[in-house]
Amino acid sequence: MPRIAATDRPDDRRVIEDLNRHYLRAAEDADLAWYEEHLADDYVCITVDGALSNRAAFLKRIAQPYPGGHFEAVDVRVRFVGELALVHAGFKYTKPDGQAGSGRYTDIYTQRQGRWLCVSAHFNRF
Amino acid sequence: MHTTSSDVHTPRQADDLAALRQLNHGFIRGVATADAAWFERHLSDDFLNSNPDGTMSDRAAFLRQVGRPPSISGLDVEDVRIRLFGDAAIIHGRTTYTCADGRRGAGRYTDVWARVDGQWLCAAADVTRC
Repeated sequence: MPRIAATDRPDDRRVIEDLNRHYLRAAEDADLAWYEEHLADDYVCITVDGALSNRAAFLKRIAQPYPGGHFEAVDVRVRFVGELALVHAGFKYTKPDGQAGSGRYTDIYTQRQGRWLCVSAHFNRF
Repeated sequence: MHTTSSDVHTPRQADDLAALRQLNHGFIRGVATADAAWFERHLSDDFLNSNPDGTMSDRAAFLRQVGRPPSISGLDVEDVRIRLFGDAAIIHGRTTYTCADGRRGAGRYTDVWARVDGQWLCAAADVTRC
C-alpha cells in the first residue's frame, strides 16, 4: 500500500502549525473572533463526550471561557492528504481543580479561496 | 469545493460517495469481525489511528490491534456523514455496541480517506468511546 500523506510542503506546514497554535490559544482565551475567521461553514466538532457539534454550536460553547487553562500542544504531526491538512496532536492543560489533564485531537483543514479553514476537529480528553 | 452526501453535483461524485459508504461499512464490519485482511487492503502505509485511550497506532500496530477478537459485540453505525474534498474525504459516524459486561456503549469516529491510483485508502482514524 502506498504512503499518501505528503510531509514536504514547508510553506503550508508553517501556516498550519500557526493555525494550530492559535486554535489552542483561542480556546483558552475564548477568542470567538478567531474562530469566526478560521472555521469553515461546514465545520464539525466531535467533543470528548462523543457529541457532534456544528459551527454555530461550537461558537456558542467556545464563547464561555473554560475555567481551567494552560493549554499546550505536544507531539504535533502535520500531514497533507490531497486537499486536506491533518494535525494530529496531544495536549496538556490544567483542570479547574488545578490537576493536570491531557488529551489528543485530530484537526483537519482545507484551502478555500486561498485560505486554510478548519473543517473538522475531533477531541479526546483523559 | 466540498461535497456532502446531500450535495452531489456529478456522476463521479455520486460514485465516490457510494464507494466511500461501502468502505465505511467495510471498516465497521472489519472491526466487528477482526478482519485484518480487509484492513491490509484498505489502509495506506502511513495510516495513523488515534485510539480512545489517547495512544496512537501506526498501520502495523493497528493491524495487530484489529486482528485480535474484539472486546465488544453488536457493533453498529449510524449518523454517517461523508464529505468529499476532491481526491480526499472525511467520514464521521456514531457507533453503538455492547461491552463485555453487557452494558451498551456508544462512540464517534472521524476517518480520512484519499484516492491513490484510483483506489480509496484510509489515511487516518480518530476514535472516541463514551
